[in-house]
Amino acid sequence: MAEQLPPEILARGDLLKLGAAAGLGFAALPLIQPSAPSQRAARTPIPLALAALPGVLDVYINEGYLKMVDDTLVYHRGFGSRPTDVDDPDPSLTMDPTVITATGDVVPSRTYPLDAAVPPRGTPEPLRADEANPGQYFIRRNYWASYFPQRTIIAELGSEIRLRIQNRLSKPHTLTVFGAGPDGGDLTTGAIAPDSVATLDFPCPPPGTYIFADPTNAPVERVLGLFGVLVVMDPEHQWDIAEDRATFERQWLWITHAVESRWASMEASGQTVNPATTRAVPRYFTLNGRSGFESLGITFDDAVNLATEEETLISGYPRQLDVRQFGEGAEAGTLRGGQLVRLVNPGIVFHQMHFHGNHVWTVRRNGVDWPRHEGYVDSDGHVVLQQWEDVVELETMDRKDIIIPIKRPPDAIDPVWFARTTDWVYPMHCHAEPSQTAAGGMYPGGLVAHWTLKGPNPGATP
Amino acid sequence: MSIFSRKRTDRRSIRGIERAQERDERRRRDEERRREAERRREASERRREDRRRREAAERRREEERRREAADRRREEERRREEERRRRRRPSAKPSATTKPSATTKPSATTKPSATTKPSATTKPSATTKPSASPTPSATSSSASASATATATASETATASATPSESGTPSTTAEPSTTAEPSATAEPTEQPGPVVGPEPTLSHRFQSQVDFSSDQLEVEDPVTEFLQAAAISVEFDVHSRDLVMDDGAEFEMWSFEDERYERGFPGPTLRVQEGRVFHATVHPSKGPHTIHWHGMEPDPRNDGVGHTSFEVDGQYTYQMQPEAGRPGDPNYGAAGTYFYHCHVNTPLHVQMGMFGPLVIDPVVHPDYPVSPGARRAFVDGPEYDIETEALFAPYCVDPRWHEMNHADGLSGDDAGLNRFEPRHFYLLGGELARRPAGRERVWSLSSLRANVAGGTRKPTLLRTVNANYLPNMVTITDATGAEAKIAELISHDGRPFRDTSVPGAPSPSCQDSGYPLMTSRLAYGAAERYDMLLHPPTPGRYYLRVDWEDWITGAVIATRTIPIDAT
Ligand SMILES: [Cu+2]
Ligand SMILES: [Cu+2]
Repeated sequence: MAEQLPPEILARGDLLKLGAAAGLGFAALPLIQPSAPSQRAARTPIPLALAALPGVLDVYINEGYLKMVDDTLVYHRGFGSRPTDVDDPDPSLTMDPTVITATGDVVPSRTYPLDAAVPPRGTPEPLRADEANPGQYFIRRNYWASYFPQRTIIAELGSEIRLRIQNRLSKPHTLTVFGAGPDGGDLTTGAIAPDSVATLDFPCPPPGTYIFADPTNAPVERVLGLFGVLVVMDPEHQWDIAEDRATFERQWLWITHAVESRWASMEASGQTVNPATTRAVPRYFTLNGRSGFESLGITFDDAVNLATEEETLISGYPRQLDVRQFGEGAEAGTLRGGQLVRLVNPGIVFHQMHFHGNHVWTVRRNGVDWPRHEGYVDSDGHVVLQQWEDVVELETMDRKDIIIPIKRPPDAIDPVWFARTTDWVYPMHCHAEPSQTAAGGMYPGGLVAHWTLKGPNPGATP
Repeated sequence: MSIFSRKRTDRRSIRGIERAQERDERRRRDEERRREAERRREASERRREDRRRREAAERRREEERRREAADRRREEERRREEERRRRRRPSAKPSATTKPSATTKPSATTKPSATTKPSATTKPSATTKPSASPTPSATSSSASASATATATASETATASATPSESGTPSTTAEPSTTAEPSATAEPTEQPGPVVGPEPTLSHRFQSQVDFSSDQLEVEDPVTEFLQAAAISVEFDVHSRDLVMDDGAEFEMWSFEDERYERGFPGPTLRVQEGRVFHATVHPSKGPHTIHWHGMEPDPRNDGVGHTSFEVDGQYTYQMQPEAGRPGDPNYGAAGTYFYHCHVNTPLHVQMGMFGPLVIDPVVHPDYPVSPGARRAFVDGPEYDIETEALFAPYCVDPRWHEMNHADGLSGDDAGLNRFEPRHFYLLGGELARRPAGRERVWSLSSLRANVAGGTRKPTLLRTVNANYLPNMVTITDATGAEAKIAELISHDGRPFRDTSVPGAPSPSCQDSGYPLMTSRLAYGAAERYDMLLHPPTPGRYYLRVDWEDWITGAVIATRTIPIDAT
């Protein structure tokens, strides 16, 4: 039943050195790789890095090979933070998280707000135990920073976003920010010719989550990796989705993607994929760029595990919650609310994000706040109303904001809950189950994560 | 609703002999598969060895891995010992027959990484484990939650369902009244969580293959703080070639009990809020679990291998669906769910290892229930028990039904990223009359609905998406025009409510004056919706279900069934 790869993308000895050069350990990495791309060799010289300009975020359209969860190298294109070439062992194919402040500063930072305390291993510590509710805690309000994954731009409301994009590839590319225009329209650089530079300046759109990507030959260039996410925050409301919208303890940005290695190898060899005739059959499924055991933070690479915990693996202490209002808790400085997860799908697969342990409360889709009353079913057959869900639909190019309550799992019996001493870990996975695989098997090797209900806190008085 | 505790000894029948034969056949097949897996394992082991020789640089990490593996083995051994210790405690319980799978290791459990870990090839627990594993069965340990408010609730809500299933020997299913209410159970008298859930996630793995092929299996994990249960069920795992409603025949794997032997989907379960529920799974053909999708117990009872354990012998899942409170959007489990295996999930769920689960609400004095009716949630609308129905879109990729338990887990490309269904089904029917018997596929051919405004309560239609693709449901009238007669009332086991006023009650959408009326419902894998049907006039309507490609959204199949409104 093994999927037969066409002969032109079988591993080739002359490219094996790439694996070694990349420090990936194996001399015989499975390598999905085309025969030598002819037109590629003719392109010289490679343009140099741009001279930095204050207040401008530089983006490089690069190509290179990324290691999948099974150690296979797959060709990618991406918006990088520095110029790299196709044979670079450490290609820059994703942008480092960057904050653009209202005052116009461009600050490389994995966390926001910039001056807030960073949660240890990503976990916001509670204020203290909640005596009235055994096993639960008071949550700090407006206190903890949040970590963001690669590919994120965080812009503060009031800023001017100034991007400078260098296309280092042999075909024209485009950077389009979807829905960020003054009327909700798209903003785009237009085609950027090979070896040239374009700029895209625009006023920061309203608070929310936006996808930017290369719409060329859609969805092919996006599938190859040319995408990222713009998160807009109101600097006056750094722990709210927007003014008067849901407030949260910390936030998480989850970017889903599906890797089509056959498309990648065709493009790497200089062909142009026709998505209508070469049907997409994704082979890897990622969350914040990782799959399977890497996305669960259980590898032998401590740095990867830590980054995964900080960026992806939701965690927090159990608390009281009322979904009718996410706001000030029973006492000043505490929060009656959960954590915000921004689900973003620049990929091509229709995902079904399923949380174990807690239902999640969905508040917003594609920048539109769902109402709490006078709900309705739209013409597509979707309910438009804030609601509980244990499976959140995430269509291609969709963005949904959900609040995960981080509360006592409601169906656990009392004696088990009261005897709890350890963390309780619950899976999150896509329920469109083929997305749970890597290279055709290795369950659970695909789009998985988990969230942790932290155990009794030694620092808190009972 | 009657759910049976299984008494394995009291029926010496043809079925019993068949079972024995099946068991032997199963053993033979398992042995064959084991050998096949052994061959595969050796082949892949050779490949891995080759690679390893070239990995001098990896040596250091390799050693670390071995150390951790040793720790893990010790931990697992300690864990097993712990489990054995715990299991010995409630030893007064009647013993169950030993499972065939407990002695012959099915192929799937032979892991490719096993030989790199000396002790992993022998399961110490297999030889030392007590021969009689206690099966908490309804007759010995189950009890109703005594004569409290819950009992009142059950009389109104649960008992009214029973007549429709009359003719079945339901006496054994009725919980006895010996034990105390669960809430008062003394933790100190029960096996406590001396160690927490064995966290596979606290260990590290060298590769995805190692992780996929090295999930923690426990022979007979122990249920912590076992309570008296209001309802107990026992599920076996079966594998059978079943004929679907289009005449196609596929090897299906599913759960079975004595009422729905070797059928598909698994037995229908109904449980009431507030009452402790037990389900004991007896896997065969390799380890399995049951995940109670949408129910939210502690991780041991959540049925996921890598956050707790996979079950080889048997395990009793325990949970207590949270009781609803009128007007409170923060409480209540009543609604539609399903249960499914969570081992090699893409394959096992596609093979049929799932079944419907309905949680009925507690009955609140302010929300009494009319004869012949039930409420969908504690303060939800009443519906007509007689015509209540469930449907589940499902589809089959025939290629997948040729696969084995652990395909893909050893790193082989099993093509499980390619789901290309060729057969499309609507499972389900009226809940009051799901046909019992052997080898039955529960297929939906038509629905009934009560015309709005009559004396009968409206019909409730529950849907579980047992599909991996998005679906669109469209309701039309006899002319094909869309008919906005469905009122969506719940999703994923939670009611739609108006939550706009903090601190004030949150009425259902119907009570707030904005019922969610629709002719269309878009949903996808594992989602559930509950809808009331309000056909304005008698006559024929249609329920159409489209299956859509998970990438392009193109409609790839359609099935339509009539709804007769009277
Ligand atoms: Cu699950
Ligand atoms: Cu599920």
